[in-house]
Amino acid sequence: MIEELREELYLYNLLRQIFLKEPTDKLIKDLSMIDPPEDADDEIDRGLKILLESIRKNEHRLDEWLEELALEYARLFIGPKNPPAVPYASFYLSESRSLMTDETIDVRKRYLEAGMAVKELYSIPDDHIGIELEFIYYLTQRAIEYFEDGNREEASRIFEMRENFFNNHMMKWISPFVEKILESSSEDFYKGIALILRGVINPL
Amino acid sequence: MEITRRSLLKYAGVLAGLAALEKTGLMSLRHLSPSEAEAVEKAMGQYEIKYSACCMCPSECGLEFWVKDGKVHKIYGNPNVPYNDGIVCAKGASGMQLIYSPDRLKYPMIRTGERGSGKFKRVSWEEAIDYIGKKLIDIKKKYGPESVIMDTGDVTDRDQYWRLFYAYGTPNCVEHGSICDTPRRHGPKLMVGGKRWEPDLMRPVYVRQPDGSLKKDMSYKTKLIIYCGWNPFVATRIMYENRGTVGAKVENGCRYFVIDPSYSNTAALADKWIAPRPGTDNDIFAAMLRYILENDDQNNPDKKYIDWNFKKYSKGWDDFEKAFKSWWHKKDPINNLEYFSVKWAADRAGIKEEEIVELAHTFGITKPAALVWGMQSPGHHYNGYCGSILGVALNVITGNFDAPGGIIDTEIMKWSKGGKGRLFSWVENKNFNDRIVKRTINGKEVEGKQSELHKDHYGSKYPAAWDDVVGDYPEFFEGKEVEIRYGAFRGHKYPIKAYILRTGNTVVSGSATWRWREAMTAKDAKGNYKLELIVFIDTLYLESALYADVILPEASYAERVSWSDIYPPMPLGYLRDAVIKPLHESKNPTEIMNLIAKKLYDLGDRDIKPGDFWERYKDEDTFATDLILGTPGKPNIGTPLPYPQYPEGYILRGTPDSLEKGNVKIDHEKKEVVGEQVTPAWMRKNKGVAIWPMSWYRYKWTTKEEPHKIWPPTDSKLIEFVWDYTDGDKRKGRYSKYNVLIEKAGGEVPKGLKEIGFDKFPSTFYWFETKWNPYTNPEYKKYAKDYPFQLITGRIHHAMTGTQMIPWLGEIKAEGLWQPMNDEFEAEIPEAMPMGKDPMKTMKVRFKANTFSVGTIWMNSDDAKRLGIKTGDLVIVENPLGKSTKGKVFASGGIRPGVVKIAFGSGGRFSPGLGVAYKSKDYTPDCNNLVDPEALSPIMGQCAYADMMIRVKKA
Repeated sequence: MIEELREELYLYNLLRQIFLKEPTDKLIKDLSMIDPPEDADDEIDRGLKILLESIRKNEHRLDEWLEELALEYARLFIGPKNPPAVPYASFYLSESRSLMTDETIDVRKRYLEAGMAVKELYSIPDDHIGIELEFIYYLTQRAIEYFEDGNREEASRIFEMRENFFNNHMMKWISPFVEKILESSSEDFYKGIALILRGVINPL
Repeated sequence: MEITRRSLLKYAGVLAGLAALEKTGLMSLRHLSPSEAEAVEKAMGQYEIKYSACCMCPSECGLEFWVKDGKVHKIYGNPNVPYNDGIVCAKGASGMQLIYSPDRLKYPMIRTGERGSGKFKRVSWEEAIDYIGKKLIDIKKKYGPESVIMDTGDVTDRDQYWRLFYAYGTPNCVEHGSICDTPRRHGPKLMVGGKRWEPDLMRPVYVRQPDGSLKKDMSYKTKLIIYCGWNPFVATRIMYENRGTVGAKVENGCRYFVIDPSYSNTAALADKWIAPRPGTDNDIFAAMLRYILENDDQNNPDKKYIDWNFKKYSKGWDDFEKAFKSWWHKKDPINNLEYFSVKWAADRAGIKEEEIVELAHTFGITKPAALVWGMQSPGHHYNGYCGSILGVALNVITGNFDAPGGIIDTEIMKWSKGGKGRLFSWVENKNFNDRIVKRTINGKEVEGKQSELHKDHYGSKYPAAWDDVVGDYPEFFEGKEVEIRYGAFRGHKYPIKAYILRTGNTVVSGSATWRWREAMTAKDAKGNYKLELIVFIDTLYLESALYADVILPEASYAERVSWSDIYPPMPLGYLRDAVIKPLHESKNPTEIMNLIAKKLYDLGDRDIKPGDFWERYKDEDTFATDLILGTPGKPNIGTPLPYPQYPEGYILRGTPDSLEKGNVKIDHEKKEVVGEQVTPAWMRKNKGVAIWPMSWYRYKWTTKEEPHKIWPPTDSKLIEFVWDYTDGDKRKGRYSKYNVLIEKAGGEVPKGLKEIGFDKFPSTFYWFETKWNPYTNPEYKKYAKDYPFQLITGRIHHAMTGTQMIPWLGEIKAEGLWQPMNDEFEAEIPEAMPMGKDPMKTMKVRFKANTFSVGTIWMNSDDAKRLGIKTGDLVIVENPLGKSTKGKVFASGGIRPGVVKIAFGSGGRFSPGLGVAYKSKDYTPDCNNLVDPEALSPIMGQCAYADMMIRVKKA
């Protein structure tokens, strides 16, 4: 069981890194060592395949490509032009489609329950996709630690927290967010990771 | 217990072992200690009311922010601020749409494509500041610090940037004033040392009573207002003026007249609408003055226009009158009529003689009254100075200046602000601009003050441009050198190499749009941009940002500390507070100032001293306090005397409560009463506002009919009708110092004056004609056949420039300038949901044609008919300079035939950051594309936005 969680951790770590920041040289080089999955029967398979394929294609011009990925990251998620894939939950879940809405505060409460808060509290909206993925990553890690310590009670409390965050929050907005990336990006790297994200959050 | 959400194992196996994915630390979250967690939890759900000031437009009304969980939930007007008296307009109430907009500038960015392409990547603050710092060091080394322009387009909260760049060594720190309406302000500055004349309509005011108490006074006294080219209901930013106009009308039976070629909303409620030809405001004012002088009869109560007491409180009227009358016998070549006669003005303005007589007579006989001239009239004409001077004269001689219910100069009794925070080096113990610097001119080393390197004040074109000149930047961006022709550095030349733009959008508003675009992208033979650095600092992504090399995200107006004090008739200041933390990675101006200063210092720039920046300004409050040291700093003058317990004429300093309670020191030597310093902390305890008492007749003693010569702030401390005179062996008057510069330069005449045939700045009344007007200037008659229309501009306040990003404001129509004439489009639109869970709801909406307001071209329906054009037709508007713009016509009877009106910034908006406005860019007009970039008004270099001839044809 621990093994399963431990291995999930890798996926969440990958996802949070890619959504929090523009990819680094190191991350891409590491990923380039992976073999793509042979079959492609679900979204994660397909996503990983597309992602790894894009790395393969661009390996020979890595520096240039990293610059392109940084530009695409800014274009998709930051601006200055209206970003096509706004990376905040409140944009999808609130009627106002603005940032820092009640939905954001709800996410903040969930972090607080786990004794956590955004590093730049009140400045960075709590419900950025990367931060939410980091939260999942963190909870998974904690669950593993409690299991290792034999504290099954705490482990399942954390685990429920995680399930709750998935089911009652993330599942509600990831699909439209992923849809935005898929329809507005021509960069396979981001299309791939978008599919992986959807596959992980919304298992079919 | 089911453990895994699904089988992710096969991927986990694939990913295991990658170093980058091994257990790594948290990037964006952190653990809270139990006490921290408790504190955060406890604070949740609690409303806190914070007082601040708006900045959705430059009205800067006092606001209450209701904050919960670190987030703004409600915005109300602050009822304690008399400027808006608790009111907040639709635009102010929309603040959350800007603060929490997903399209806000969030991170520093560096351009990766060509200028204008809009391609940027996110960088860290360190990278962005490093880029800027290195460029600034390089430019300073190669060309001198004066090659850098710091343009804080918006006037609010700009002082940190000026401080930084003055310290760096450039005197060229400017704001939007120079592209606003300098000719309009000219008369007040020249004659009373002031700026903007507004009717005495701000209510409430606090007035000292005979029993010593202070009373909140809501009563309106004004009986007549004449608004010339001024549209308080739609276009202006003076919050109290629109409610005050209605208030005075309803409660005091005040009448008001509107002079405007278009039937503005203000005109619609007016007692009289007079629609002259554009650019004839000066003519009407001149004819009013001549009529009053010729017909005044002190013995006939129906013709007692002039209150001759004004002569006691003024200087040089006889010279002014003589110069004015010297024109009366000359005949104007355009119509062969005597200058300033009623007949002459009626002919030029295209209105009836009786209308002018009625204006003059009614204004002369009704007291108290206010004659107000606006931004769109003298303010935007090449020769607006003459109208502005005549306007001051008319108000003064009729006894209305500073009278209760009359007209107030709102610049010279407001609290003192700026001062040391903006200008002063604590380390060098002097103003940065007073530093002595050296330059080599023709092989000779010359010393002078840093200020004497100023592009305009000592430059070859407009030395009297006391609000600087922005309209001519394009020619300098393209490589023309600044030529210093006056002062110590006469003969010095330098290029302009960096342009730092903060909260402005000069590409659209600076003068001709096409000219700015060309200049910002001009390259040298090697393919490098001639202008080596463009930085854009703002909360919003406006057109000018497309051309920036670096974008810095600034904290929004809800996230920074500063002051607001718009057009008050007496000392009044209110706090702009950081009611929430800066969102995303934006930083407040104090932080940005310190970061760039520190970087310059680290790179070896020793003009920057730590004690002037990061060592002194560890927080915003300290900086804000330095901006108002010794405020209000205004004399205890006027009737009723604000503080009868203190000597009349002494300068008042300190909080209203300390002055009221007597917690003061009285310094008889300096003639000062010093109470407790106003600070942000004091403001927070006092509902965010400091209000000192109102008084009137501040140019004379409260007990006798004599001038005290303390105020107004002119050389003689009297109202001045002469501007270059000698007093003993001293040259005095507002223009004298420029004439001294000219004399010292061997009589070299600056370009602006040369254009109008003057060889120096005139010592009293002067007159010259405007450009691109075939009815007043014979030179332009030849264009009249092919270009039969005159183009004027206006403003749609609720939908102007950056805030067009708020669709529910944009949707609302106004006048003929902003009408539901869109092409069909689809957009995500937030709608107000008063009963909903959230205050608004955003949804995808398909707007059918003609259901959403966009910028339009307003013309007379008979003109349109003649051209075979009907409302909604797409037309091309062309000027004789070969420039054009496109838009849809709104034809109505509400505009004078022969006139076409377009609102500023209402169309052709090409920044995708503007949401819905961007969608209509191809069929909405950009009036500034038609402006003559060479037509800069000759005294102060302001772009003549309202002087152009055009033709209209179907697209």
